Amino acid sequence: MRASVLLALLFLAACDSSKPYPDFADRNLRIQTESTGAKVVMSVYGLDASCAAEYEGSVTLDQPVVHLGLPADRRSRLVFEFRSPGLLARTSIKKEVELLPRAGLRYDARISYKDEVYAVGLREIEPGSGQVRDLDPRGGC
Amino acid sequence: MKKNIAFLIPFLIALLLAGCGTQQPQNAEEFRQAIPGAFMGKVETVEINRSFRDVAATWQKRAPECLNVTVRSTDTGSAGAHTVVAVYKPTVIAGKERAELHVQVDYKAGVLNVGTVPPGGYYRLVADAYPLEGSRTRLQWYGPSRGMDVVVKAIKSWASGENLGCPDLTKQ
Repeated sequence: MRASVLLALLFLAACDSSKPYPDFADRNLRIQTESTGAKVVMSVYGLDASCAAEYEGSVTLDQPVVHLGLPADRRSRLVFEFRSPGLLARTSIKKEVELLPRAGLRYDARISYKDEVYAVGLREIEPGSGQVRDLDPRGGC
Repeated sequence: MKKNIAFLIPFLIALLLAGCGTQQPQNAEEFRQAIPGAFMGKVETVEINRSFRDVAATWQKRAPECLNVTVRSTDTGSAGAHTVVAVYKPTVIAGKERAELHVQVDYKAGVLNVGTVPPGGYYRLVADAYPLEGSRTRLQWYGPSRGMDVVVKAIKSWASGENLGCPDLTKQ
């Protein structure tokens, strides 16, 4: 019995191809998450000039505030996945946004899931002036 | 049993809209006419304390962002796995006297299509907004009484401006 459980866990672990997103020194992105009824996982993909995406890692947004770094002057795709129990089984819905961080600027993401409604908002902040700009989450790719 | 019924809901709604041998609504106007007489059809009218212009602008912004979604549902019951793939397509038409939001669903897998499927998929919901005096708006929607609850809630919330979030379409 124990062996079969262990095998099942090993199988599940092997199937799960996600990896932790690396920690960068310059944490230019602050993510504020408010979620009721859904687990939120963010996956980061690097995009090259031809919009080809490379998976870089995932972060579970289980804290109200998470800081992480995105490479400046390179487009990133952030995929927010809201996982929740459904009528039949666990369900998930994904929201993709693209971000081209500029060096020296800070970024704010506000993520929410409540009453079967989710929202993803992105803002760019100039640390010097404090000027804030709402970003269009639809990217160029 | 609960599982089987849940999986049949999209099919049942399409079947009920088709009626006994009647053609599926092929456009939004046909859908408006079909819904009041359809079993499980619902028409609701509400007044919104927000200008028609703002309502139309919000629909134009939010509908493409939130309702261009593909939902894949898989049931692994005793009879094996059954997957339904539903592709949602929103359309917003904003005129001077009326703004329209149509939601169509194209079942790519797992559902037997009934009748002629209109381009873009079956009409599942049509919402209309009309300007009223005093920066108010009349909102009227046509759709099934069950099965599109999260979409109806979102469309109303966008109209009122109280919540601009996207509906979780896996919860239909």
